[in-house]
Amino acid sequence: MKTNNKQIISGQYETFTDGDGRQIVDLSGGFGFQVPSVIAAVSQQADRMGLSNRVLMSEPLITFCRRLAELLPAPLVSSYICSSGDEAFEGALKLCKGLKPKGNTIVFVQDGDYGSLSYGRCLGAPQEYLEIQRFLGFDLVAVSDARDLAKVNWNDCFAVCHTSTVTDADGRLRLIDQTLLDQLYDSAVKVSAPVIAVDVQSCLGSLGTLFGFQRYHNMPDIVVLGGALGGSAIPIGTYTCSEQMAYQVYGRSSPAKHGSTTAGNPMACVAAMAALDYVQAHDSAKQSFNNGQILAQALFAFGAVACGGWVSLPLASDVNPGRLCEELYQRGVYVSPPRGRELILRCPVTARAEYIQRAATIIKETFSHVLNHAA
Amino acid sequence: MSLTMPHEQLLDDCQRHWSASATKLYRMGKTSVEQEADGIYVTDHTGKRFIDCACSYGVFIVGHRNPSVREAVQTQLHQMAWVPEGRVHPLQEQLTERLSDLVPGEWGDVQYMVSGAEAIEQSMRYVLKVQKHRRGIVVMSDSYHGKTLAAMSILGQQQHHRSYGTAASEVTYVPYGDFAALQKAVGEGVCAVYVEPILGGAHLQVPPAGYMANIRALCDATDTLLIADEIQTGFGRCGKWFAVQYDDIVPDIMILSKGLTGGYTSFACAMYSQRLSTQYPLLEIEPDQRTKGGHPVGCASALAAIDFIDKHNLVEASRINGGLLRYGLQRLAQRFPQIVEDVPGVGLMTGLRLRGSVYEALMSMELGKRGVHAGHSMNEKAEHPVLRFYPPLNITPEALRHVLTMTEEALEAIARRPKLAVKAFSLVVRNMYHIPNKLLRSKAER
Repeated sequence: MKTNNKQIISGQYETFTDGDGRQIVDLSGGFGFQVPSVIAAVSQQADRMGLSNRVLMSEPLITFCRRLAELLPAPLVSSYICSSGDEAFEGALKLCKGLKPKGNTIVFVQDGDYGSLSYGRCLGAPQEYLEIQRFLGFDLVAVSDARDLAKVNWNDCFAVCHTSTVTDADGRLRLIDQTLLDQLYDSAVKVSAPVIAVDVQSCLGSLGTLFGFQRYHNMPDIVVLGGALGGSAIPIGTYTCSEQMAYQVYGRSSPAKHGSTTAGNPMACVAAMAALDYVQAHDSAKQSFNNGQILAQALFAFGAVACGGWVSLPLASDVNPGRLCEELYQRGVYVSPPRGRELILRCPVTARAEYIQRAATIIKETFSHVLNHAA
Repeated sequence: MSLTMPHEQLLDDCQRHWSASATKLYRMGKTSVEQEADGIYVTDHTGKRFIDCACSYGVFIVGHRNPSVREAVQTQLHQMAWVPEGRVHPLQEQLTERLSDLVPGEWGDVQYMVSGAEAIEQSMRYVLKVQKHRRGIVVMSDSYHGKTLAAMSILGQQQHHRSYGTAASEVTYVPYGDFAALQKAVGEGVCAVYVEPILGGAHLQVPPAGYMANIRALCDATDTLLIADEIQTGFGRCGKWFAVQYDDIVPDIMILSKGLTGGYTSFACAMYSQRLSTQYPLLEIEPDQRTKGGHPVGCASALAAIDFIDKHNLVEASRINGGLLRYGLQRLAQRFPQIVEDVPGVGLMTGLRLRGSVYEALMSMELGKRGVHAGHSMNEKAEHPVLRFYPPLNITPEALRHVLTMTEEALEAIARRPKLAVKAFSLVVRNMYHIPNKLLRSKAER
């Protein structure tokens, strides 16, 4: 049996305590740990009911969907609630397939994180998932610049997808080029292919705006949320579209066509509403932006660049990323292992500035030590 | 009991912001709003209590708001509800150990997910990779393995494929229980066979004795992987801990969910046999192990639920009470043959196979009036839908007798309806989702 000694025992906001009793500042993103108002709301719901038997109407579910409609720009008013953001992305693709069942091609902006379900993995790392892509029988066209748009068989395209950030071949985090996005949206609208903005990792203020897609001036047809939305209490994901689009696929058939036994359960909806309450009351988008600035300024000399509460930090060619992450961990900072030659620091949306400052100091010391050591 | 907004407002919000088709169902059925749940009961906003034999198609194995599970969930919520990616909570390792001991066979890797469909998808990616020299997956007609877009490619309820264009050319469907057809489809060997050891969903069916043993032998002989989807059947629902125990077989991969949730969180897992895990470790086959599954609250809930089932002998209770329920339903089936075809199932996984969707709709309405919820197939076109009775396993014989009495009264009420009225209602049921919401709005809403 596989075991894992990377255990976590307790936490608060951006900090957790591991199995060895170490206090670690988490820079891997998300909502943050054990936010009291979220935990209290979910615990209170647990006193009334957990999952639903799905026969009667659910007030938390409907209230949550209305809340999303109030927060998202018109005409995004109809939401489907899923068990995770990853599942919600596939749900959004399913909606697009329902609109165009014979369509077989997905066009997507390359180097984004589309989640861990099968379609998401195929978009995120196409070469690693050839078997399932062949089995499912769909085609992919990756777009990284405007010339790629000419490769698309638009008549066959049933969905166009983009994330809010991309991580390029060097592992550098950046926003998508606005001109490319404009051309992508223009092409999609000509063939009535819905555009899905995947905002799972970047929602609730991570990028300095409540939703990541708001960093751009384009209006997606479908928005996918998840990640931090569950308030680090209960996983949840959503996809939201116009009332007309929802009705076209699901309005005249059994609700079971959408189908999920436990998604949209009261505990998860309450967690999400409490998380939304928190980020609105505390202006977490602004707080995330400020946290990103703290890290970027402290690590400016090392080439750090902020994108809201996320910071991309290049690694010298002689630095072993795995060893660096381990060193950082030993000193009290947890960072997800980098995909390329850049370390991505992601402040949880509820992270407190003083702890981010502390993490910045640790990273700076570690980098200086590593550079000196290398020299 | 109260709502934070008028019922009519809730219906309007439901229509616009969640599901227009569900709103049609709610308006036609004058559906109330759930407020709280406890044990075998769900209570609505008017204070009316319902005995829950729907249980979201079998989720509430240990009942609603089970005190042991609730305490574990709330304790964990207050201690540590979440871990960042790449880290685990000790409870996850405890759960892996508990499941590996509990599920018959020798188990290796266990991957946690937030839904059964996610776990099915994960297993699909795995089998297609480790069997890349092979082509094809064989599934059973009418089977259900989840409705995420990728999981739909092996959905045996084939009517859905037309709506989404999800029919996969490498999937072969064979009738459930027909071993000769399965043998033919597997031939010299395919990547995998996916099977529910007892067919769940609206087509509830217990296979002939020896069916699963034959499939195991066929898979062994052809190096085909056998995946048992025990999402509905597991954790005592079928009268044994797991349905594969009826034929005493061990699959290569086991998918678990509903009973694992403890009635509190969306949760699922895929378990890989020790043999597979040694030959093809999950970490090598799929190094990117990102998932929202395995979170501490879900693990706490699952562990508490398993302990409760074990401590209170709920598997045995399922077998005994299942017999009582099925005997009672069979007696009613004999009395109302014009409405009920038969009573399939085993353990507390049973139901009434009805002579058309109109009777399913009528039964749901009549049972609802009498304070009983049953699992509706939600398929208005089904010719022989099974209205499922999947109560919590800790339901008492007294409560089951009450359910049977209410079912008898419901059948009597339907039998009294003029044939012409039933026929007219049948037209409404078959086309109910095509009726515009504005026509269904009540006077109070207008």
